[in-house]
Amino acid sequence: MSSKQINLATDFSKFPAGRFRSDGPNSGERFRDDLLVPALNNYERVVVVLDGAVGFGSSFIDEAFGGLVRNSGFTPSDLRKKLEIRSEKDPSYSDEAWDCIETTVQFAKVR
Amino acid sequence: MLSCRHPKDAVVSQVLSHLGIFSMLGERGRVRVSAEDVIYWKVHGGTEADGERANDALIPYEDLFSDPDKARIYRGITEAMTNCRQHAYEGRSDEGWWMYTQLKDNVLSVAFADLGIGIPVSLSSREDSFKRNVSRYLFFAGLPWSDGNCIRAALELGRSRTGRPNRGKGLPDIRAVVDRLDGGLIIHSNDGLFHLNSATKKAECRTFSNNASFQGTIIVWAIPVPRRESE
Repeated sequence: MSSKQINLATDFSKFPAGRFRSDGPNSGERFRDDLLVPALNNYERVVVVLDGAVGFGSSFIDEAFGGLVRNSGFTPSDLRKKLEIRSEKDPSYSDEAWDCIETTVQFAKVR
Repeated sequence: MLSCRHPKDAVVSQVLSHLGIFSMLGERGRVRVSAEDVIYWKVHGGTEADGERANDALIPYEDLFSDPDKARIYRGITEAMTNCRQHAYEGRSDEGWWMYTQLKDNVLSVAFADLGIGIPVSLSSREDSFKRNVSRYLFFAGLPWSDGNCIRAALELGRSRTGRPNRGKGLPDIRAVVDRLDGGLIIHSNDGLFHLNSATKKAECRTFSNNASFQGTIIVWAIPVPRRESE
């Protein structure tokens, strides 16, 4: 099985911030579109390691991970099979990212 | 050609010198900055949600806080930057934010300011569900739509996560660090003021008349430095 590990702090930035590209240099949208979506399209399994970054705002996490469902055509079911989000220093970031993935769909269903 | 004279008030003169206003205007007169309420402040500025700038501002204080608490402060500041970028200037990207930090009497103060449209105006112009939820919150709480009540509603809705899908959590991120460390938070936006003392769990919300209005938003965190085990 082909797999890819993305270390956010070294492969992207130690200083993630902002939702959209227009917000700043290291936004959730840029991480999603430039690193995460290509990896998910080209590998059967993708591991994202969040440890090493200084911190994360909710805007970054929601756009990077919730945006996979909202903007990039993935379903939570796809992502549960393909994606692992590691955040050993602070597991709340991983929980928050999965919450964004699941919640985006829940809202889509009730519309 | 610009020129300036020093103000009569010596402390105001020190503030202008410390902020670099005199040097911007080419004023070379010497002002010794010594006032207690001036000397400790450091000044930062920018236009983007730039995590590296947030981190740079916190470097002088990084040994005082645990990694999780540093991450909470970083989260609050970067969300303030993001809010400023997305909402404060209605999408104009060339307008800026200013941040002032000070460590004094074992309290880290961080003040983040913009000169944008303000939270209440930004909320009332939104087309998404968050504005509807603010209106609903105020209706059921029996509160009128005022600047102070809008700020309170935006903070509370994000905390209870009623304002989903996943928008409107920026203000709760801004609040989280003071809740964790029993600090204080002031948000003054246009005519509204929200003041939280997390140690006493008391929150106050006011709306001023126009002559006390702050045109824009200023967020002030007062974050007590945690005592170390050996102290």
